Amino acid sequence: MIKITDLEKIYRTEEVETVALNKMCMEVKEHEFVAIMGPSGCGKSTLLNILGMLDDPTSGSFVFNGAEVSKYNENKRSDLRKANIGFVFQSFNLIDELTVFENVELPLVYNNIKPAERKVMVEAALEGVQMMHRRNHFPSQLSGGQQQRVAVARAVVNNPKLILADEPTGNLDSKNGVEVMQLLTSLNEKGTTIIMVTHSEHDSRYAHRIIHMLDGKTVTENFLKELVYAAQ
Amino acid sequence: MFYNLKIAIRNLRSNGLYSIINIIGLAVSVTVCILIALWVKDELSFDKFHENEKNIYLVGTKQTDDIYWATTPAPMSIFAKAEMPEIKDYCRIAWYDNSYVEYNNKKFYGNDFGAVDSSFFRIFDFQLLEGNIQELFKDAQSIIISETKAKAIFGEEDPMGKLIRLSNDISFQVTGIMKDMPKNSSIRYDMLVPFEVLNKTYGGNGFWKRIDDDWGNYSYRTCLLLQPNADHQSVSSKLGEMVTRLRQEQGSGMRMTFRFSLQPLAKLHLYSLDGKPAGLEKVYLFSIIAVLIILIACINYVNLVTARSSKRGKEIAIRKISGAKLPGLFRQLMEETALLLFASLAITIALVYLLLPFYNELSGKEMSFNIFDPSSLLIFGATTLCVLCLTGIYPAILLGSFKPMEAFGRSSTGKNKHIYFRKALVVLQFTCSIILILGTIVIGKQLDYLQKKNLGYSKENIITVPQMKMQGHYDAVRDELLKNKNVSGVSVFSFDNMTVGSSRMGVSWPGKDENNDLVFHCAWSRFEMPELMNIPIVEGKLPPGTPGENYVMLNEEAVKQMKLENPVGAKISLNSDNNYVEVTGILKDFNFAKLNENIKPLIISFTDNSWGYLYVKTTGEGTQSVIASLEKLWKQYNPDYEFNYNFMDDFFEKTYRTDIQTERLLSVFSIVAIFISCLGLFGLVTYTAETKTKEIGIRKVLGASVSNIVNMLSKEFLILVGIAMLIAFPLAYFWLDKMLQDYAYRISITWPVFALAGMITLALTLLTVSWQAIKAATANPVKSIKTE
Ligand SMILES: Nc1ncnc2c1ncn2[C@@H]1O[C@H](COP(=O)(O)OP(=O)(O)O)[C@@H](O)[C@H]1O
Ligand SMILES: [Mg+2]
Repeated sequence: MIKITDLEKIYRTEEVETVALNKMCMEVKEHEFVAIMGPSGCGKSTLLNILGMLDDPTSGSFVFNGAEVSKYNENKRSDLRKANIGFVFQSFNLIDELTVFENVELPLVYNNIKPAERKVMVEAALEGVQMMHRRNHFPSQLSGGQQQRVAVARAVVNNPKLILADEPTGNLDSKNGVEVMQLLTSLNEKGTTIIMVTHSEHDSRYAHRIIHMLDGKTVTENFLKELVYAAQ
Repeated sequence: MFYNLKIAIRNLRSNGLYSIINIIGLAVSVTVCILIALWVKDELSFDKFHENEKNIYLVGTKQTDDIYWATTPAPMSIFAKAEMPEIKDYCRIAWYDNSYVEYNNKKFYGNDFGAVDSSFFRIFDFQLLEGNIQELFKDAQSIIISETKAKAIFGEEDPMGKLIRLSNDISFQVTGIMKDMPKNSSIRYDMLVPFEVLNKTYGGNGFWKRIDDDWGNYSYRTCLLLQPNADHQSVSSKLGEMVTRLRQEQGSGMRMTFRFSLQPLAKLHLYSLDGKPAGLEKVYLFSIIAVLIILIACINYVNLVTARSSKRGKEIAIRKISGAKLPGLFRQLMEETALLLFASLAITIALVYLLLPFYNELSGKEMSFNIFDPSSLLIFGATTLCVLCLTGIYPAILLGSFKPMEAFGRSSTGKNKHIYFRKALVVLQFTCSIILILGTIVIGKQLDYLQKKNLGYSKENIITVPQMKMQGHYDAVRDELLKNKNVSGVSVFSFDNMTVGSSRMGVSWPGKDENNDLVFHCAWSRFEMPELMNIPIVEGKLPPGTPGENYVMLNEEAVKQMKLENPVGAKISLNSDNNYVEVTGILKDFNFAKLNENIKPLIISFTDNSWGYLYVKTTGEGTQSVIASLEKLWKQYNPDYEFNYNFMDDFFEKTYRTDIQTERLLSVFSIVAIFISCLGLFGLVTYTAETKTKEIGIRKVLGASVSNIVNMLSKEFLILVGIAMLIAFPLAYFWLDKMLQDYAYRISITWPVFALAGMITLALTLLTVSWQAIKAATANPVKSIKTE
């Protein structure tokens, strides 16, 4: 599903040049659950942003579903992103002024889905994270774990093929963290490809494969489980 | 104090954009306010500088219920003073028409001469620089001249006692120098001669021997100085009774009732003689606009301060926790406002000085601004204080009342508390702006309509010149002019620009109901005129133009009001002298007055020797050669007078000068209003975009396109502007419809006007909003999400 080769990302500010990704290579198959680990500043978030097409690489190739997307313009990337990718962030990134329901509904709005259909999909997603009872609450009225569950619901409401999660449990206590990880695992079992950045050994064990990064490139890979997936 | 000042300056600097928006907004609006205040002050100051201002009245002659003349017969005030103890003094004022003064064989043109009673300087406070007030008019050959004119004529010489000759060949001795009469005086002359001098040139008209006996000539303005507690209403009715009685006693068999009105001199400028406002509405209008513009700028300030109050709230909260007391905090905030205000006032002063020359040109006045002048200081101080109150107090109270914990907390309640208040203010701003825009459009359209309106005659390619001594030599003048191949026709009409400035009553015609007298406008002309001006004849024919014979033509309105059954061939008498002339035909109605009025009954007397203006029609080419021909004739017949000619095409500009000025000023003011409103909007959008950076980032990650985001940010403001339109449209309609009722010929206010105003406002709003919105929407979401 994803294949990147010699991917480079260089940040230039006035004085310094930071090589965030240094000829990084990586492949992710469909239905896979990959965890990315590494010390702070080694380029994990940068990689995730590029995979999520929020940012473009400085050089190198990025093939998504067989298409070379590294040279796509903003519009094309946005369309591809809308249709295929969901995000979960460490800091939840819910919109304070919108209710739980409205937050989850947002990706559908931007995908031009009809209100009636939206309602069904949002409810299904909220059902999936057990947040239906809080549908009319505002984010500030929820605990961190609840907020992250809403964020997961928002990431999956669109039935994306790929979910990118950047330290999804980083701001949660362990009990809430486990709940979120179980959610992601069950999503993966239903066929969604997941790439997750994490600092937690414990969380990484939910994945099929762990990629260790250092200074902008892969240093080792651990295979934990076979990818067994029977399309339903 | 200095500590606070330092903090205040730092705060203003760190909020650069918002400070600039506020400073510019306030500077521009206070500038406009001061300019308007100067205008209003000038309008209101007319004729107020006389010590007796409250007791001086101008007598008006009431022709009918709605026709007033500002003049009276000369003897009236003499009799009135003798009979009525309420009248302390009187002064008659008349034009003393002369084209030049001559001194040392040099002629000086362009002076206004007035003939006044010797009471003039006792009643009015015009300053005398030289001369003895008791002996100013010791004989009929005395003249008082203004300072400027004295300098122009005599230079360094002492003018007192010098002899000067006027164009009517009478010599006068200078017995006084007066300060130039102020610009804000309704009575303005350069030189004054005694009223008695009019007797010298008064030929009598067979019936009356002296000007002081002539009850038939309404050429003189009469001012009365009443006793301090006299009732002017009763004086005016007594005047009517007196004149009615006197005229009957004179036994002319007249059974006419005379009526007069007394108008306070101080009201002359802003009211018409019937006491209705004429000009005052404009003073109100502009005052309201000044207030609105200041309000709009203050709203900007309040909005930006409250919008950002959650940010400021943290600072205030810390200060409160550190033990700051409310009065101290309040003072700090007021100082900040004051600092901002002073910055904008500095700009304001510069702007006022810079713009005043243009403003004077625009408004047709000669206003001056000197910041150290007490009245300027007052205007300036009052405006500043108002702004300080409006802008300072609300934000200060708002921030001062902040609860520390609320400000620290993540809860959004503090942030949203004032959002509706802010929205309401934006709506208010735009309501004002839209009303002003609509006003500009409608008045502009009305003027355009008046300009294009068919007046019932064609004014194209007509040059007019006063005949003066050409009168009596018409045939020679015409023949000479027609030699120029660019002249296509010549005639005479008693008034310039086809306006009729004379009216009379007591006209008799067959079948007249004696109890129902009519006021007729009267003009004199030659038989070529209707054809020259393309005025159609609806019935009958033109007068034959036989030398020595007199005929009249009526307009349709006259025939209608006279209820004449067979107008053509009827004989009517203009005076009560039983001198009947034949009506040869009826002219189609044409507009001979400002279009504020409907067409009134008109009688045109045709003689081969009419007085008035020469009307010369050109082919539209070689205008310069026609003017040269006219000038040659002028030099031949009127060598002592300045040559002045007039294009009738320019007539519109002259007649509607004040309307045109109003429209121009109004358009400037509405531009300022919408500019300041948009400035505030810009500030608010910038602020919204700033606070929503993260939300925008999230939305973009979730698939929002740039246009989605721009929509989201603009929609809110567009809705507010939409609401403003809904409020502004009916209000503006109400106001403008009322204003247009002053015109007999007016446009109706239809939807395209509203559509245009709406489109202008929406376009400007979009432009203002979208710049910031697009900037926010195209920002990289990765960066904005990180900000946490
Ligand atoms: N917008 C940026 N501008 C400049 N340097 C950046 C930017 N974003 C990230 N970096 C740098 O790139 C490197 C990788 O950052 P990041 O991908 O956020 O690391 P991680 O998520 O692994 O902690 C770091 O050294 C960081 O300082
Ligand atoms: Mg990171």
